[in-house]
Amino acid sequence: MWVCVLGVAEVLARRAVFLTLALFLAVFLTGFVIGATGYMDTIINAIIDEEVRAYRQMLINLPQRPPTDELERLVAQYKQELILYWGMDKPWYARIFPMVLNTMILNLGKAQSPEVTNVAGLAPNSPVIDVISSCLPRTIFMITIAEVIVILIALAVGPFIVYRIGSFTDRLVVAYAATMNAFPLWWIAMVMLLVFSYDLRIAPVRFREVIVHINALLSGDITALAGVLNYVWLPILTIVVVLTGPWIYSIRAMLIKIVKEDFVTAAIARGLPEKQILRRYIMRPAASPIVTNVLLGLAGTLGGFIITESVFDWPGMGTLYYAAVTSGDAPTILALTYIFTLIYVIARFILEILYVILDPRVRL
Amino acid sequence: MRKYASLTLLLLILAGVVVAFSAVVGAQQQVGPASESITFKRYPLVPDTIAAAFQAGEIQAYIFGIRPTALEAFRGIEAIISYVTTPGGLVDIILNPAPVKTVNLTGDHTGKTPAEIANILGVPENIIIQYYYDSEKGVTFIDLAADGERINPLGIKRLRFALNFIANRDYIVNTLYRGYASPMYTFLSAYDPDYALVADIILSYNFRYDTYYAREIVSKEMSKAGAYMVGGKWYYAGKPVVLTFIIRIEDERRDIGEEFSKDLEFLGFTIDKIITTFDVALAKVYDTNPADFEWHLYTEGWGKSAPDKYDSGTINQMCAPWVGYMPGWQTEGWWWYRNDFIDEYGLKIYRGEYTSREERDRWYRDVTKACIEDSIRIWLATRMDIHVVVRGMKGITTDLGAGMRSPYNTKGVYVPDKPDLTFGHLWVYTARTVWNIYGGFTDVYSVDIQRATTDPMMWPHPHNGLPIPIRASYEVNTAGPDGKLPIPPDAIWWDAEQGKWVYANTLGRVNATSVVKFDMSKYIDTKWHHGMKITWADVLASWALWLDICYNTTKASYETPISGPNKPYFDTIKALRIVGNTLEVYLDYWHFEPAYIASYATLTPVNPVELLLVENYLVFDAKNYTFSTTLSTRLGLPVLNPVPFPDHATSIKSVADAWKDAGYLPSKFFILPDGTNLMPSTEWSSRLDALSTWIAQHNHAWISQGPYYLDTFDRLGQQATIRAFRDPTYPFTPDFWNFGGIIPPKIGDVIAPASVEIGSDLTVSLTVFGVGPFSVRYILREKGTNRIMAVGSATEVEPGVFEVLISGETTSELRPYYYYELLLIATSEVVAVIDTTTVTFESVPSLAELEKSLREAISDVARRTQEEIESLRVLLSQSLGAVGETLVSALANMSNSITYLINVTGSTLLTNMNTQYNTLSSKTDSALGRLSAVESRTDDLSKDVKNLSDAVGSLTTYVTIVLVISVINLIVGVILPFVRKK
Repeated sequence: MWVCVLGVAEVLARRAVFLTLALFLAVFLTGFVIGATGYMDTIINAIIDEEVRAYRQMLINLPQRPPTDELERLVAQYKQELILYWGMDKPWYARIFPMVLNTMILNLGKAQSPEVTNVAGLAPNSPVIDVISSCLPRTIFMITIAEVIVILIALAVGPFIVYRIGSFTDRLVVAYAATMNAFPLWWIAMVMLLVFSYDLRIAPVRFREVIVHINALLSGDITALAGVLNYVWLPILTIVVVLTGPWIYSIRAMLIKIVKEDFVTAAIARGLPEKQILRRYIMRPAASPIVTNVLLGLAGTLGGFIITESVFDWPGMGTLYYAAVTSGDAPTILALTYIFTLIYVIARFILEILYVILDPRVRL
Repeated sequence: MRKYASLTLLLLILAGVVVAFSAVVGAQQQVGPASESITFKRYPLVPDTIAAAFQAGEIQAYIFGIRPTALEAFRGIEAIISYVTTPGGLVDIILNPAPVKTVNLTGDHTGKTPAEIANILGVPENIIIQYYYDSEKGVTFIDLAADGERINPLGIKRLRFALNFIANRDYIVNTLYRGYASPMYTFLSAYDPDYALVADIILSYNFRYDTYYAREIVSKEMSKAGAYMVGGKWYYAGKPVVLTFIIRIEDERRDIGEEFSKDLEFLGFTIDKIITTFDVALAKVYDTNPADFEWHLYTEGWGKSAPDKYDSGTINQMCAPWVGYMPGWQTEGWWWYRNDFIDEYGLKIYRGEYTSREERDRWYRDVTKACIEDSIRIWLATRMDIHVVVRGMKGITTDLGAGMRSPYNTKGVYVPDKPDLTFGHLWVYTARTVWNIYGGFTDVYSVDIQRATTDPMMWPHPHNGLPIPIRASYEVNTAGPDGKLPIPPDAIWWDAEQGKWVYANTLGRVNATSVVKFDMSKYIDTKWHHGMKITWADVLASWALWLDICYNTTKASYETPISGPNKPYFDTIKALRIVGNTLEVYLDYWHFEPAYIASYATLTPVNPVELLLVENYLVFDAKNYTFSTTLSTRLGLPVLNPVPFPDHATSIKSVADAWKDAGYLPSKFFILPDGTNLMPSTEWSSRLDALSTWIAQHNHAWISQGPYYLDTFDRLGQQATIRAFRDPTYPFTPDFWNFGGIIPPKIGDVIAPASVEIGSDLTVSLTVFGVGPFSVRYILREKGTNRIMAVGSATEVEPGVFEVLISGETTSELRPYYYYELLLIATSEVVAVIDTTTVTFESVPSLAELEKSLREAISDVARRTQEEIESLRVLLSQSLGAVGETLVSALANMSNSITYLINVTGSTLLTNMNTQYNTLSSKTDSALGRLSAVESRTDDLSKDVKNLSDAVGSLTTYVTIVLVISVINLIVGVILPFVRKK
């Protein structure tokens, strides 16, 4: 017994070490890629150029414009400020690697780009941790909750139809899944918006204001929940409508495999009740892949849906990542990569534990 | 009784009329803005969503510019919306004229012509890009566009210029921008006030889409440079001539780039297209040495700045190398494009070194011409931003600078029966949004709201950019550009080091170039939004705080991002003086346009002094915040932003409360040198109370004096509401802000002859309609060759009626029977838009010329007739010998008679003709009549000539008959004797 427990612990410890290394490697590689390829420098230089050009244009067109030598001095000074601000006076490795190391010890630094802090609705140069913690709840309220609902529906419907393969219900579900799989989520989101917000006028037109309610709710004002629900139901409904079909189909596919196994046929032949067969002979063996899907799916939601967030003007994690990548905000990119990888690693580790619990073979 | 009843009825009617009239007048005189409130809400730039928001009645205007290509989304709802357009951006293709090789010659050769330099170097003249003397090295550097191995065609000036003719501006404007654009041929478009000044220069080039014409020039220049064509492609030193074209992918510039590429290929170039996003494009174009040839062409785009009646920035920005926007970007160690002429005169314009408007205009025209001919940029179009509004919206002003974002519109528009409006905008708050007057308002979103809440002293006219008085009328006295006015001894100045107001003279400020006397009665004793009166304390403390930031050593060296750009301006302000309700500003600044001097001297009191003082305390004393984002980044402190961030407003409130509790009054800002105290302590206390209360009520610290006050601002919800400020002291009614639409000048009737007589004066009269004063310029051009024959201005003979007079000296240069085009350009002082029209006519020889030709023709006829007769006489003489001598003699007599006859007849004819011409000349009062008369006389003349010709023909017949009879007579005379002998 103890040997078995020690064995499991060793397995888990090895996995934990491996996943931790993977986490660090992911952040390091991200830093290396954005630095060594020149991607970051290209964007930052372009931003500096644009800012300097705009500054010069502003000065030249001032009614009370400065003399030319003063103009040159001001422009040069402004450019130097920007260069220092973005750290462009140092080579990429001198900028990125310290950032990578700091990120690994969760010292995420400050967001450099106003575009990034803009997503969070914070002042420029705000700490990255504040930026992320502003955006994460918005994504959880919209996408993660929707995904949970989808998973619950799929887990209820999938086993139900697995015994009725080829029936009308099954065909209906398959057709629905195929149809929904074909439509982009963001397109359905636009349709839903037009129908529910503009035509039927039962949903809000602008969703930005949800941030105020979410912030109030998180600060302990329970009455803000009504406000949150007022905004969140349509995006959640949209995601549920679109993702439920594919999820049911995927659960169904997982279960079908097992239904065809000999031990299930034998159980049926023995005349065991359907519920018992489903619980003991089908769901138990299918638990591992289903749990894997569920956990990784939920972890994945935290990354947000960039376009769908944009359609609902819902500045969550997807929008944040997009803003960080397009504006060359290295601290935010590294922090997001770190956090997403960390969530993935934790999910993987939980799965490792669940595998041990759910599948006795793993313990051996 | 009936009489009383009638009287009562009459009184009732009168009373009703009076009440109704009072109501109408009362309604008309309601001060403040046109609507009760405007809520600004963020709507993402998704055209379908915006269209749906209009349809649902959610918004009454969308004031962020929508691109023409996005208008499809509004197709179904055009019945309920309309568009307000404003120039939003400029599009051009910038060319890289860098050399492939730079050689040098010892000594200064800059005085030589390119041809002489080319001779010295033994290279074709056209490949010399530029040459410049380096005094340190003592050599002249010469940049070459070709070196035998490589060629940069865009280094050839004439070839660059030819590319103007492959820009299909009509297609760009009408197809790519759906008509919401205006073609550009230089850095100005028809919406810029200075366009009128240079329109004739632009039109004189006759720019058009003519790829064959361009190819002709390109072929000539490329061949001259040593390139050759194989299979329709240019080659140089055995390799195809490749141009790298960076095309932006994000907008219409992609299609523009594709079209331009096709035409470049038609010219024979091989195009390497790089279609990419802004970061890559900018890195390649602006971050590399042009001489590295990472690019040859780039689809460049610019934001459009507000119109300026007398531009001095744009011309330098787009043409002058010194600004750093021309290839090379003034980057040390890189190759630079140079143009000393443009730099010299561009700088003079920028610095205002002219002594009159005429001089400035002349320089402006010269630089524009040089800029066009250098063609570093091929200008394509001014793109319009489209703002969508509900169809029933009233009070809209056409603002060429800001469209619906204009303060004239936010303050002046309304929708009948809908007092509360909602404006959609792309953002209400962004991370760049800063609400403090020292380092903020650099983004359009905060500016659009703020301007609705503040009345400036002066503001540009929406139609032409000329600064006009808003809340302070003015009077300008100037001794400029060279003279000086004395500064009165009671004028004051803020001594930033001592921290007090002193007499300006004590600081050595004894004279100034100009003085502007602002009548401040529309500010003083009116109210701030929080209910306190605006006083001189607000006006002077606004100045003092700015001067502190720029001249107080501690403050100036702390907030350098603010003191740096502003100090040069305050350096030119010499003193202030209060006389009654007038603020006199003494300054060292001159402009030929007094409105510019006045505008230069304005410093609008935007916020009440207690708010400004608390803000300054938080930044410079408590050092809890910064004013500028740059310093904020450097120090890691938050930038003071008391509107989007309520906690910043709370900080202000805390200081205000603390000051009140402590009885603290920063009196140094309010005590004048004569001891006058502008801020009694009771007033100060009330002001601090009012500030504190305002922040508590509104959760922000923005208090101003405009027709709207800022009620709420929700940063996270992206929403802000401004409400009408209808305090009776507010000076304007809503109609003050309505300037309506633009009435551009329109050329009406043009009276011009269908043909012009060479050597005669040509007079064309035309009428211009619209809002004057107008001016009309003209260009006379030969149609076939595009040769400019004359350029000038028409004379206004009576209001709106102009006369173009082209002298006989000029028309004597015209070639007979060629067609000429007279291009007329009408401009208005009031609006930036111009109108043009053309008149075409044929040149015909003059009557004197015609007479001379006729004389020659007649002489010729006479001479030939005489010759014929003479030859006949000789023939007869030879044939008939002595017998015929008699006849010959007779013939000679006859010949003389004929000659005499012809001469007399011709002479008489010519006399008659002369008489007729004299008659004609006397009838030349009307051009049309004269033409008809000339035609008629010409016909007569033609008939006379014909008659003469017939007469000559008859004479010949007569002579022939006589001769035949004579011969018969002779024969009969010879034969008859023999008959008798028989």
